[in-house]
Amino acid sequence: MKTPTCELMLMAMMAAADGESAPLSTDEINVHLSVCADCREEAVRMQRVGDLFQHASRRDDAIDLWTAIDVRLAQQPSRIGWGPFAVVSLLLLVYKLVEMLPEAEPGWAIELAPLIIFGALLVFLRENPFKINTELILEK
Amino acid sequence: MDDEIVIEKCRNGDQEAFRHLVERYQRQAIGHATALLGTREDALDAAQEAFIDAFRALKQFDSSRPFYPWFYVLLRNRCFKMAARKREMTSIDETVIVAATGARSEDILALQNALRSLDMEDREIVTLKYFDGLSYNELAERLQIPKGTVMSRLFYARRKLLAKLER
Repeated sequence: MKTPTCELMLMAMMAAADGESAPLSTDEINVHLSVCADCREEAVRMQRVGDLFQHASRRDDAIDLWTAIDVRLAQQPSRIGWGPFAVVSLLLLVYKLVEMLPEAEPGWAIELAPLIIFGALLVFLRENPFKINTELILEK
Repeated sequence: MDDEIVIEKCRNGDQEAFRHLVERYQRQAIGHATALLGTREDALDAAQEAFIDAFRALKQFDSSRPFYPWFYVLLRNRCFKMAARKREMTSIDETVIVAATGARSEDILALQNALRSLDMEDREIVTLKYFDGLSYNELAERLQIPKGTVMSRLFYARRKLLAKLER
């Protein structure tokens, strides 16, 4: 009859068999095995997994990835520096100053300026703010 | 050429130096990706993407540490993302293991089928343990989980594998 400690015993046995430090001592494991037929049986069955893997190996094919990687790396977009962001900041500053002039009446079109500047920046960066990145779901 | 020297060259913009890393680790990477994804075609894509990720992230890599365990984390991220994009693909559909000399072909087939029916995470930990012979500490580093979790995850994965083998 299995007790709640059986899983821990089997885990400890597995760790010891793998040459790792086990959470229980060899004596504790042996004492448990001497009284628990289920664990003795499972330990023997578990051994089969290791035996099977000893006669198998990972399939190993020689494939060259470099050619494709080299092409991809060459196509990397050049890194965008701070220049475009400085220009956008300057434009927004000018817009704000114009808007703050007390006697200026630039008209309703000036209200669209920040939107146009932001849109131009997105076009320049080739970024779509409405794009849904499904890959983010899997980030761990 | 040592990985450390190669990585330093890559960081200085020598793209050609990266070739050494790709050629040194591509077989291992494809093997691992195939065990995870199940198809050679997907594995090649994932390995290729992971190498590109690695090239881009080399500046953050601590070159006093070995390259492959760090790269493996990028590779498995790519594999898990790819598997999620192809949700219908949940099992291995290609031969990912081969028989060693003297092995019985029915045993290998049984093992192949049992591995096929495991989920990706169980298949990953079991194959890393048995095919790569990684210690629990190495598994913890590769899988980014505590050592205690390695022990329990490996235990339950083996149990599931055994259940499949005995079915």
